[in-house]
Amino acid sequence: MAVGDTAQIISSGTMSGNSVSLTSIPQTFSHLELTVNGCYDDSGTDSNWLYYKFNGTTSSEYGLFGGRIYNGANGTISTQTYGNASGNYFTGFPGTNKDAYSNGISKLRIMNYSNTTSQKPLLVDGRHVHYVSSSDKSDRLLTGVGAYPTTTTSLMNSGISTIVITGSGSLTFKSGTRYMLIGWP
Amino acid sequence: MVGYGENGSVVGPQNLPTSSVASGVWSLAEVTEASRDSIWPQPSYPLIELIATVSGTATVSSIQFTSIPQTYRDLRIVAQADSTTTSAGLRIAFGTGGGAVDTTDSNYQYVGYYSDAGSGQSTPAAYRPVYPGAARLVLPGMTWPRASGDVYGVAVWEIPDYVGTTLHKTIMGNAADRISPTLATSGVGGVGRGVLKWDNTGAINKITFDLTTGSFSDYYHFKLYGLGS
Repeated sequence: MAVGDTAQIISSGTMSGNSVSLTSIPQTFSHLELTVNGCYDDSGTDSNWLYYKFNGTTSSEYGLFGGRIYNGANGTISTQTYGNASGNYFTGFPGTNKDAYSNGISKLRIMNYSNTTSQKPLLVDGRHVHYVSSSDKSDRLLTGVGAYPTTTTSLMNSGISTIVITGSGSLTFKSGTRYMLIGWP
Repeated sequence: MVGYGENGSVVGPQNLPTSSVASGVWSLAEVTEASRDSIWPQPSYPLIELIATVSGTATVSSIQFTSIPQTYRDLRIVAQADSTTTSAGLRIAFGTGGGAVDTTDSNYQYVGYYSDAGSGQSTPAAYRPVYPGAARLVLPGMTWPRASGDVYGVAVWEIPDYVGTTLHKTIMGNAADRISPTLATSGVGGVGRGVLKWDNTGAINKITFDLTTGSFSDYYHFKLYGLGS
């Protein structure tokens, strides 16, 4: 890419079912920005995880450190490590238990994603809120910084060309849920 | 199908004025084939475009974006602002259809966390949650009076799928406030992150910012961008 090149939408669209695969991601941009917004189509779910898997890697290569608050009226913020052992990155994502039209935002920003020599640093951001009263609330706000892969050198020799977005368990995405993958020069 | 160069045909390679074209330029034959077969390459749409800017120095009670085009997928707002009153919280209101913006607090919900440094402190205090509630608040303590020394706040907000009509609208924001030339010694800077939901499924075509107390003054600069299509 050169100065003057523009950011472009690599892929965007609606989401249904339990999973969306973004494959053949061009290796020609500087960094990626992936945004998912919407919710799970499940009235029994307050909030659950939304997972991201890179290049099919299932092992513990998803190093992440971050903090989150949830049901913030509790007045607590936890600072924790997430993801490394799970084989995924993840953020919170709402169901329709508290709001039939819930709309959470989950975002990954992956820097230098196409390099073939080192880790790919990234920012993870997931937020949603529903707060009518202290007894009618659901909110998640998670922010973290990560690096993929965590330890395995051979995995560093490939740029990120595939991202699979998967709902927790058998949860499916509600109509209106969307994703957009942007490549930035 | 009539072949190239035949009577009544489209212009073809047999009719080329020259066969030499610059590198990276379509030849006339390629243009002809693409036109005939309706296989034009998809154009590269610009990802991000500036929709509007609101800036000024005169005191105003609100910042308004109206008639927002419905042709993008996401909105992004970048702002720098100053206020007449200390500890002014920045509020947002959305509008859809032909009506006014919705300023009913109970139609909005907010949660975020915030960190600032008390007077004399050189390092920020631990993050602390801003208690959620039904409010149009997008960031607390966003601005600070310039009279105390060119102090202002900055923020970026993102609104995915603002044209969607199925789900409620959510906006996420990151900000720093009380930015001052004397920040290093005054120790009054703060950073915040938050998320706000508007309980309305309508497409957003109006956005208004105002303050919980006071007005925008001295210097304010809001830019609204459209992303995607």
